[in-house]
Amino acid sequence: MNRFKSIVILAVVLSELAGAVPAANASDVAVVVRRDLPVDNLTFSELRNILLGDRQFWSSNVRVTLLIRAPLAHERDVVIKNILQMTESQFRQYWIGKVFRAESLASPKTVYTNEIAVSLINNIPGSIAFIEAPLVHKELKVVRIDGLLPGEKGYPLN
Amino acid sequence: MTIRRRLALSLLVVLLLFAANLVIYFWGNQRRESSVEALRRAVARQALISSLNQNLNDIQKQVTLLSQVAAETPSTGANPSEVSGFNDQLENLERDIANLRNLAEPDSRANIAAFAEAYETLDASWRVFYGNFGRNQTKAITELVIRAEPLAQNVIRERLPQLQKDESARVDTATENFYRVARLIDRTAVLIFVMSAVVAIGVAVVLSRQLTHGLNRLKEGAASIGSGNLDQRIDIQGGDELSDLAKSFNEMTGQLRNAQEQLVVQQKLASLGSLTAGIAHEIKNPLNFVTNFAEVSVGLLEELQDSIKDQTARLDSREFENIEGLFADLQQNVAKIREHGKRADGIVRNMLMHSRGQSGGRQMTNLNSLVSEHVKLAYHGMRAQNPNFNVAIQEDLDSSLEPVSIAAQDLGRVFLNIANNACYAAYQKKKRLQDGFCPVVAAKTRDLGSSLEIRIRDNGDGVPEPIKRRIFEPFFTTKPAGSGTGLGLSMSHEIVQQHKGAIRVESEPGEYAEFIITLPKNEISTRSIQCLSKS
Repeated sequence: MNRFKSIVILAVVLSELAGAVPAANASDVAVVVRRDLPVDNLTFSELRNILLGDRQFWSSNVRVTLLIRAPLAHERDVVIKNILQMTESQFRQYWIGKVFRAESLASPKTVYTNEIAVSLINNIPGSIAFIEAPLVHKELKVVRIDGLLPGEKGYPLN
Repeated sequence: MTIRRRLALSLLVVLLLFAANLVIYFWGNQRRESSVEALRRAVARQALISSLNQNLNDIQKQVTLLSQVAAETPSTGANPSEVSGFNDQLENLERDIANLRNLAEPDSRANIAAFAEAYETLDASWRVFYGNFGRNQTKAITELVIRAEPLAQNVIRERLPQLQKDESARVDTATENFYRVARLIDRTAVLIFVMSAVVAIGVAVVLSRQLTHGLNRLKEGAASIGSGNLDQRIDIQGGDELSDLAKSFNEMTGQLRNAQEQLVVQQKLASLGSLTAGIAHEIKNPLNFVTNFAEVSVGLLEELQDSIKDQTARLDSREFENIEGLFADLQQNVAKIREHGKRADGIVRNMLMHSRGQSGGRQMTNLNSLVSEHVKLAYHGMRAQNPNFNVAIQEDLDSSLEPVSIAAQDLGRVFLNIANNACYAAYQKKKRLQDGFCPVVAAKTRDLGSSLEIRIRDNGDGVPEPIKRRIFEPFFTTKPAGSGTGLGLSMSHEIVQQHKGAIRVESEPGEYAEFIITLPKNEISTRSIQCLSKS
């Protein structure tokens, strides 16, 4: 009986997850924003510009607040290596230089956990975070990258 | 205007120019200091704003990098010393902003106050971030993103650049004002200097031209007079010292002209004196015959009368009485001839004495006789010239006077001169007042103990005060031209002084004039002194 209950619960959870991210791959990293942010899709290039600090506002003049997991997290590796094609050191150096050249008043905010990231997204309008696709909470909006969601074929962030 | 006043005025002008220069100097200095102070404050504000910009950016970078880099490794947050250091940085910024507010110009205080207010909010937000960093990451980052970064954007990217721009404009304005003031001061100083130089040169030129003009006129006049042109007159208008000098010069020239004319008169008088001496000498001889033969005739008449008296018996009594009567008349006539002959001899002797024109030596003289004789001589002289002339002569002579040793001839001239003037003055008044006036000339002598006093007074018109001061000056006369030489009283004054005496005049204008001569007894004793009479 207990075994049955467990199976049912798992089935429910999986069905919930399947509703949020279709065919989610555990290694895919989802790009998430607040649901009220009028952004559904980003090109890979736009995403790269956001990560480089070259785009600091959404189209609605809402400031972009970049939330990135602390080093050693999988999401951070995917962002730095797949999108920016940098090493950790290069990424750090890039942002130090950008801040010291006063090209940007803000830099990516480092978060220790996905929970913190979720909390900050809810608190900060215009914030954008990178979370492993299976862990994305339903209250967040997953942004398509080049029209693709995590788990779809060709999704670039994995 | 006098030269003294002109010089004083010139000095005043120069002093005014100095004062103007001094005022300009102080005014310029004040303006320069004011502009320098404004520039210094503007530069100080600009430096403070630059410092604020630098420090704000540093803190902002520090916060930004802290949120990015230092947070990569979870920790328990900043330790108290780090918090203290961060707070010190923020307090430094607060002090800089307070200094900026103190240095603010009135028109920039509102902007600076708004900036300070915005910074206070930013400051508080940064403190929240730093206090929660590492402890409550969500709150720290939320505070940073939601409040601190937009505030930093507002303060660092908008308000501070605006302040920098405003202050830069103020520095430019202050700099421009400084140079404008410097140019204004330089130009004003140069202008005042040039004006001062022009005015000073103008004053110097005008003054020197006036002086040299007057001096040249005087020089030319002096040269002309020096060459013998005594009719030369110098005409300098203006009422200054030079015009006064020209007037004095002209008066001197007039006096020289008068002196020249008087010299001519003197020469004529000298010639007349020589002639008079000659005539008197010639008259004296026949007069001696008249006098002597009159005396002899008196004796002969007496002898004849005695002889006739012896023949009385042979003569008829009536005839004898007739002869006696004739004798008496004849004796009376002869006596008259002798008396008036002697009188004429005395007059001639006096004429000779004065016509010689030289002083005599001292001799024991009866002063009363000398005074009386010369007063009468003056009277007769006037009578001889004018038959209508007549004044009453009054004498009050001190009979106790002893004979004194004086230059009788010289003092006689003094008495004669004074008596002449007295007769003239009294007669002039008589002519004016006719019968209502009795002209009197009075001579008086007194022994004052240590000195003898001789007073000769007339009841003429007296001597006015202005004339009294000049009465003993040579060539000064109030008589009509040709009537007096102006030398009489001058010479009298000198003769009296040679006797160590004094002569003065007392007068009541319109009433009388009295000349008073005092001769000290110790000077007119028997001791012989050299007489220095004027020839």
